[in-house]
Formats: sequence, structure tokens, C-alpha cells
Amino acid sequence: MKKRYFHGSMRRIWHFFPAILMASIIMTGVILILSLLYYYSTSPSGKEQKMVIGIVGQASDTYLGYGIDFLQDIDSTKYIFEMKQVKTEEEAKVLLFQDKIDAYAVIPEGWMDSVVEGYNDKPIRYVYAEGQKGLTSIMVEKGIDSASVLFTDSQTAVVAAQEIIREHKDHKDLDKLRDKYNIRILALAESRDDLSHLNLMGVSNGLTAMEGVALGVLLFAVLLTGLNNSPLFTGRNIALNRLLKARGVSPLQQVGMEFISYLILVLLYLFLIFGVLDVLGQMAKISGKLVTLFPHFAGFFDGGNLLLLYFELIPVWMLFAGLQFLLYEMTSGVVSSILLQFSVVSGMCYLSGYFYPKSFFPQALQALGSILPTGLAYQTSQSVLVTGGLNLGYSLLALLYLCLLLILAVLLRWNRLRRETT
Amino acid sequence: MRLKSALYLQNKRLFHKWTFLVVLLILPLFIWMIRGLSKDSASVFRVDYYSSQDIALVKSIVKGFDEYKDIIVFRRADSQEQAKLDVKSGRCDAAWIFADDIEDKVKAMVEDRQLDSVVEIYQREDGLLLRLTREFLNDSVFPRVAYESYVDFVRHDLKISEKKISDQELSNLFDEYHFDDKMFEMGYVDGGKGEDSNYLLAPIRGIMAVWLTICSFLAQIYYMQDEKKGLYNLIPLRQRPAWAAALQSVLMVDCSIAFLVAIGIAGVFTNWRTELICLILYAIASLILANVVRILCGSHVDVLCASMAMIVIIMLVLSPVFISINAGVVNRLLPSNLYLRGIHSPLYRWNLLQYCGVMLLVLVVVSGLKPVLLRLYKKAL
Repeated sequence: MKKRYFHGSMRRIWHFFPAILMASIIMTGVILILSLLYYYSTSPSGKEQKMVIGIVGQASDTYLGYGIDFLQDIDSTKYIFEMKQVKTEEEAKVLLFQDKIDAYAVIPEGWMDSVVEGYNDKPIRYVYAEGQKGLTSIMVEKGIDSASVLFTDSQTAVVAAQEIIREHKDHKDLDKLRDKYNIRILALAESRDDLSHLNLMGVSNGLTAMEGVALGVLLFAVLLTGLNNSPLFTGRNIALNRLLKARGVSPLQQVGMEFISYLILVLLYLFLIFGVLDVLGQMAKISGKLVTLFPHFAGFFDGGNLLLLYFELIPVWMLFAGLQFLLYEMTSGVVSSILLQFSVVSGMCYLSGYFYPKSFFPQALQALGSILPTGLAYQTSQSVLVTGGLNLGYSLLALLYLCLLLILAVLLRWNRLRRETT
Repeated sequence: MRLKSALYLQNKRLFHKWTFLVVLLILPLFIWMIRGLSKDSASVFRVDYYSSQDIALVKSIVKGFDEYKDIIVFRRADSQEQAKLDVKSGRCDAAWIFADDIEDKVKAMVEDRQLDSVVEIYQREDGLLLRLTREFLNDSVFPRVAYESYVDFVRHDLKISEKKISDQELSNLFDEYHFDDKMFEMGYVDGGKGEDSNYLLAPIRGIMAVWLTICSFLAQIYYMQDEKKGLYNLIPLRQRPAWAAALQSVLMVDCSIAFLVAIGIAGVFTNWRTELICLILYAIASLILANVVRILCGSHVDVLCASMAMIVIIMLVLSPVFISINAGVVNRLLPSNLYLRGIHSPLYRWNLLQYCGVMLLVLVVVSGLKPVLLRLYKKAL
């Protein structure tokens, strides 16, 4: 009976395999395209990304010209600000909506006079396109606050110097001396980057920031393929499991056989996907292009080593298969199954540092993220990428964790069968 | 059966399985947990700083770091070597070592009209966000540069000696004209100011929006199962689309309530009017999109699930959830992108409404064309 059930499970897997494989390959293609889009939009090499800012206000004023030059020079990041004069705020809103500008600044009437006279009661309103505050917009906001301090301190010096000129020098020299000092202090502000010197020590025992993100995306995508596998699990009939139990196939054996057939499916389609990526990577000679930002990944694209990466990460794929299996075991309906897969996987990946580096989180959340299956999977994968080989310790831990997940699945199955028979 | 009874039974069917309620509550509870645990000691960066001397300028710079304490944790290292070791081992992201003679160096730089480094920065690697932290550091040192250049200008260019104006008077005048107010004010298109939200919770609205799209696809799976069981056979053909829409909406309403609870807990809730308008438009847009995909996938649930997974990934990357990528017209095809931008932009809300109209037209065309194409296909065979 056990043998027959196992054969039946395998036949079921083969029935769904072509569709699941096709879906996974298409998903891999989509992820590759999105990765390329992300890479070209954030790459620090080559041409820098221009951030176009609309300026609503009177830009013809000489001092405002200095101010706009200053605004252009607050960029010491990857953006080069390009200023675009816009007649009205309504026009700026339309340009923002059409993605022709990235943000706009509204300079209130009389702003320059208020600055020159020493009052700062008319702030410039800066409007950016993002629909909600995100990490980048929070950092840009801090950057602009910081630049604001820079500007106000420069103008404080100019206004204070202007007062001294008024009291102690000839009034006809006021404009000339003030302009002279204004230019000098703006020149100092523009070269403020020279105040610090950067020493790069290199990433010796870990992944680069970009590699961390890439690894997170890769592992999250593999977990999301669990959604493709939902037809295998939904619509199951508990009556069959009751019958099997009556015929001597215990819940442990049932779960074991179902999991082994599911695991074979997962390992097979991942093998095929990695194989296709390996061939494509060698054809595109991608190893050379990745070496700057993704040095650890680049090594695996040389001569069939991507499949080696696949084999070294088998403990991770097994752990993921176990997690997906357990989540499907928890629910029976299609709605609950898929929502649970997405909610739990997204939550775990978030806490385990797949989307943000783990260091962004407070200690308590970092600790929690580390003990989750996704956290262990990340650490195992990181270790494989950094050392270039299998880490026995992490691999054994992953397998132990898998056993724990399967024990939970067995307990759930046993409990459900017990409830159904009483 | 009357529609009202059908809606009631559909809802009862959903909640018949207690796991559905658990699934609705998982994300709000998860968000509540993150919010509670992230109240203190969360930071984007950890920076070790060190100065061998007890210098007033360094003290004032460090005091200025309070401005960034919600994103950067600053820690005084015991020594230069310890700071560098912390960077190498990953215990911190950057080390800032202040020069022992920083005050003299700043004076000399101003007189020479040329700035030189007064802080040595050590990092493992560079990136956009770390470059922004360097901006914070340079801007923290610059006020002293500004002051020294002002003193230098008065003494050397205006040639006003201490007898006319003492150093103390110069300093008092500088303080008198010092602007405390911010030069820039950040805001949104609709005039709203940026909400005070933790950066950890900032992506929650985006994740929940994608979650709601998944719910719209799940409503399709329910519909396909019911159609297969023959539940719609008793309903006149002309009324079926309306019934289908109404029954699919039951799941969307339940999930939308969970959505509102989640964003309320996350602290990104704006106001009821905006939230309800945007949410209703977004739910309708997602439902129509899911219906179009369902018709294109035919009766194959596995194809629908695969399409759903792909659309989820595309939405997570191309909508402003974690990052913002401009992919041209593709961004406009995603209801999640329009929804997230529409929270603070009336133009995007209007765009979302137009999107609903266009997708409804597409749905009508696709559902009308499909039987015709199938007939032609069978004829060809």
C-alpha cells in the first residue's frame, strides 16, 4: 500500500510538473528582467542618474541663481540635479505626474529678500514624487535638512558680515564686499567634501551590499515559487488519508512520502532553472560584468559553476520545500493556503533581512530573524557564496530544522485525522 | 436564490474555516509586533567615532548627531584601532576618526581658502546611502568653517581689528543672525506633510497592496471552483457577470478591512476620505485585472496561480514598495503603482479611476472575443 501511495504521489507530481516548470522558468525570466532594470537604474558606474527638479519661482534673480547653483551642488551622491524652470505649481504637478520631473521646489515670493535681510520665515517647499515615505525618501529628506543647515550657516555668516560692513565701511562698497564674501563662502560650501577623507577597507568576510540584496531576491523568488505549486495541495481529500491510515499507512509515512515526492519536484525544477541560467550566463559572458558589484556571484558564473552553487545550496532548497510543505499542511482551502504562503513567507523574509539588511532592525528583531528558517537559509547561502564551498555546520543545522518542520507537519496530519475519525 | 442571501452565504463560507480569520490577522499582528519592537535602537547605520582629545568642536559635532539618531546609531570607540576593527568585522558600517588638531586645521584651511580633510572615514564599501551619511558629517563640520571664514573676512578683508570689534562681539553677532529655522520643507503634492513613520514600517502599505491583489486572484479561483460545481447554472446568463462581481467582492471587502487595520497599526494611515477612496478604486482595479487574467488563462487554475506569482513579483519591484524604478509605461499598467502614488496625489487617483474604466473595457472585449476565438479555433481543428 505504501509503495502504491508513493507511486501515486509521484504520478501526481509528474502530472503538474510541466506547468509548474514552465511557470517557474517564466518567473525566472521576469526576475532577470527586473534585476537588469534595477541594476541599470542604480549602477554607480557609467553615466550618473539625473534627478530633474522643477523650480517654481523667480529664478532670474542673481542671488537665486547662486541658490540654484548651490542646490545643484548639494548633490554629492549618485544623482546630478538638473534644474528645470516651471511657470506655476500646477504645471509642476502635471510634469511630476508625467514623470518628466522627479520632484519640484516652490520658492515663495520674497524668499530671497527674507534670506538677504536675515529672516528665514519663508521656507522652500520641496515636493517629491514617491507616494509614501520610504527609506530613500527618508534619507534624501535628511540630506536636504543637512543641506539646509549648510545653507543657513553660510547665509548667517554673510548676513552678519553684511551688518559689520554697514556699520564700519562705506555704504557704496556694501554690494561689492557682500558679493565678494558670498562667492567665497559658497566656494567653501561647494568644496566641503574635502573635509573628510574616505578609506575603503574592502569586504573581506561577507557579501557586498548589492550581493546581499541579490541573494535576498534570489531566495525570496525561490520561496515564491511555492505559490505556483498550490494546485498540488489544494483540493486534497482527507478521506484518502483516512483510508490510508486504515490500511496501515501512518501519518508519518504519508507525510514522508508526500514530502519526498514534493522535494523531488522542487529540486528538479530548480536544477533546470539553474542549468538554463548557467548556459545563458556563459553565452552572455556575464562573469566579467558582475565582478565589480557581485564578486562572489561572478565566480559561480565561470564554466558551469552555477550548477555547483545549486548543489551546494541543496540543504537550503530542502529547507524551503519543508517550509512550503508545512504551510500547505496547515490549511486546506485554496484561499487560506495561498494567503498563508504569501503572508508567512513575506514576513519571514522581511525579518531575516531579505529586503533590508538585518542591521537595520533592532536587536530583538535581528535575533528573531536569525532563528527563523529563512534566516538560517540566508546565513547558509551567505556562507556558501563567501567561502565558495559547502559549510557542513550550517548544512546540518538546515537539515535539523527541516526535520523539525516535518515533525510539525506530521503532528498536524495526525491531529486532523484524529479529529476526522472522532 | 437572491443576491443578498448569496452574499451572506459566501461570507459564511469564507469564515467557516477558522484558518481564514487567522490568515487575515497574521499580517496586522506581524506589523504590530514590528512596531512594538522597533521603538528604540533601530538604525539604518551604525557609526563609530573617535577623537583622542577632548575638543569643543568635536563635542558640538557629536551633539549635532542627535539630528540623525532615528537613522544612525553613533558610538564612541575606545581607540582608533578599535573603530577600524569594528568596521572590518561588520560591527559598524563606518568609523569617523577626528584629527587631533581639528580646530587649528579648520582655521588654517579658511586662511588658505582651501579645505583639507579633518576627518578620516573608514568603510568596508561605498554606496548611495553611505555617501549621504558623509554628507551629514561634512555638513556638521561646515558651521565651524563658516564661522572661521566670517572671522577671517572681517579681520583680513575688511581689516577691522579687535580694538574695533572684539572676538566676543563677532561671535555674538553671528549667533544673533543665526537661522534656526529650516530652509526647506518637505511635502506631498496634495499639500500634506510627510508623515512620521518608522522606515521599517514604510513598505507596509506596499506589501499590503500586493497582498490585496493576491486576494483578487483568489476570488477568481473561488469563482472558477463554483462555476465548475455548477453554482451559477441557475442564474440567467445576462445576470452572471453582475453576480460574479458581487460574490468576488465579498472576499475583497473582508481583506480590505484587514488592510485598513494593518495600515492603521503601521502608522501610515492618512485620513478616512483619502484612504477609502484610494482603497475602493484599488480593490476594483485589482478585481478587474484578475478577471481579465482569469479569462485569458481559461479554466486552468495552475496557469492562473503562475500568472499571479509573476504579477506579484512585478508589482513588488516596479511599484514604490521598497525601491522606485522607472520602467515607463509598465509602471502605469500596475494598479499598485497608481494606488501607492495616489495616496498623496489627486492626479494619480484620477489616473486610477481611468485605469478602472479602461480595464473594464478590456474585460468586456476579452470576455466577448474569447468564445468567438474558441469557435474559430475548433473550426480550424
